[in-house]
Amino acid sequence: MALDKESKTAGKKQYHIHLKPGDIGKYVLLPGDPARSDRVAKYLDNAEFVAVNREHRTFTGFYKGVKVSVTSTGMGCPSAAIAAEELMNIGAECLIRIGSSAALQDHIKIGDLMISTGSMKNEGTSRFYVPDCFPAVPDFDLTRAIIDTAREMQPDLYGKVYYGINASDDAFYGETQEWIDKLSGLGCLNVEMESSALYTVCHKRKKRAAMISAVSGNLVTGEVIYETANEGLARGWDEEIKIVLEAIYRFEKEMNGTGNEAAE
Amino acid sequence: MGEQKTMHTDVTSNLIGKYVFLPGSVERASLIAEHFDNPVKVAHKREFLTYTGTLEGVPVTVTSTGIGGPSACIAIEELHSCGAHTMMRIGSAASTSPKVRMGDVVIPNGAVRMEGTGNHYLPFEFPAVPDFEMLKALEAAAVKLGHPYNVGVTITKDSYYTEAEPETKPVYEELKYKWESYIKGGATNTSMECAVLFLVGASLGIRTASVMISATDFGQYSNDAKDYPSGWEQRAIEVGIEGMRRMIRKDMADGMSM
Repeated sequence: MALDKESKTAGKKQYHIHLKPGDIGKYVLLPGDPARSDRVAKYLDNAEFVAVNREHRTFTGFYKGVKVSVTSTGMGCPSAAIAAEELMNIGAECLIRIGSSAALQDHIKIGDLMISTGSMKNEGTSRFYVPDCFPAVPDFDLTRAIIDTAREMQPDLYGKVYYGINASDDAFYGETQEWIDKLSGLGCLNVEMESSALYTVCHKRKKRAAMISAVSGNLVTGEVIYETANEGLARGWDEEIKIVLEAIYRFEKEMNGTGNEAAE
Repeated sequence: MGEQKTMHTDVTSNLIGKYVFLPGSVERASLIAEHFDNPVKVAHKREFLTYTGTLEGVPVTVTSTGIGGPSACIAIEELHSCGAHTMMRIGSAASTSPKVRMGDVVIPNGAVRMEGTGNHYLPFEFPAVPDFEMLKALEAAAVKLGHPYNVGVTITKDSYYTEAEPETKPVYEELKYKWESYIKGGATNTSMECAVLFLVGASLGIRTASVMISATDFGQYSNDAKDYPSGWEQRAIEVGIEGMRRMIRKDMADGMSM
């Protein structure tokens, strides 16, 4: 099985995302839902639709002069890892997941914004890259820039901004009450399904990853909205896009001239 | 009060049949629907594109799952909540054996559990196997249609980009040992959803099976339309459609609810 997918695909149109070098900026936003790629595109100048294949839908545009792309990952770590690997094959350097997540602490409400400082690896993808005891953490500089930006923007935001450790689970419908109690008791703030693989894949390739997610509901208090449009969540989606784009602009300015290499 | 739409797949029980095809690729859902009588697109949310039509006069549905166990599992759970009881993956796979060549139809009779989602449903010692009647129907369909096929063990993995180049990964020794042992054990192909389908299906008490097209020869890697004749994808679809027709006819003969 001595194949070399990385060298075989370098410089070519990528197998799943259908993108080639030049199609994207070095900053890429990663929603799970393809429809949310369109939501991001509205916030970009000169946004152009680039490709759609499977669950991966991509636009590229500019924010305050910085070239930024958005590619949807689909749900779950397996497809998120594929999108991240292929994006890095064609020049992505900073991959920022903009997601939805469910809160695991009772003080967190729908529409609040969660910035991840680490992910509990309740999933099967990252162990293909690193041993189970290896941590899944986002890039420190990029995460700090997102936290600083979000705090500055806090007075104008619908929800509160939190940061801390989240869980990354594989089975959306496999969450029993015992499981939720366990995650909550461990101090996980929220649960989603992609970040730990994203961090692991990016760390392995010395690129930067981060995540901000909007709260869709609370698994501890039972605050959930399924039957009607979740307006708080939709506001959170818009706000996390604005925060990340502004953080990217500031991060690019900060790093300019100092070399934009991820920390070794 | 009307039935709520499912959270991710955006369907209700009146929109779907009890017989469901589950391709990974969104685009393949449309290709499969072309084989239905009177297909109608009923929903498209996230990676889940759904058409419903009929086969043998009975409502059937196709819903794309996206890549990987986590999103496939969501589709399976939600479609089951709407009454689906027979689910068939139609997908693509890579060969892990000289027995499987590019363009061959592969029909798994079991799956290696190299994935995380199934563990949330059944303990690791529980086997991931398809429904035997569906497996027989798929083999009979492959024989009837005359396509080259293999019935064998598939490897369900959670990571696409570590299977082929394990030596670059920090856990190389473990990956190398596992892949070599699966191959020595005779596994013939690999994809990313089968074990999850079989295990979640078993825990829900529904019938599941899988039919795939091999996109590669053993030891080769396909990344280009030119070395993967996309028309061959139709072989897996044809076998899947014929297999499902056989299940429907058998259920009708048994007086089962359609």
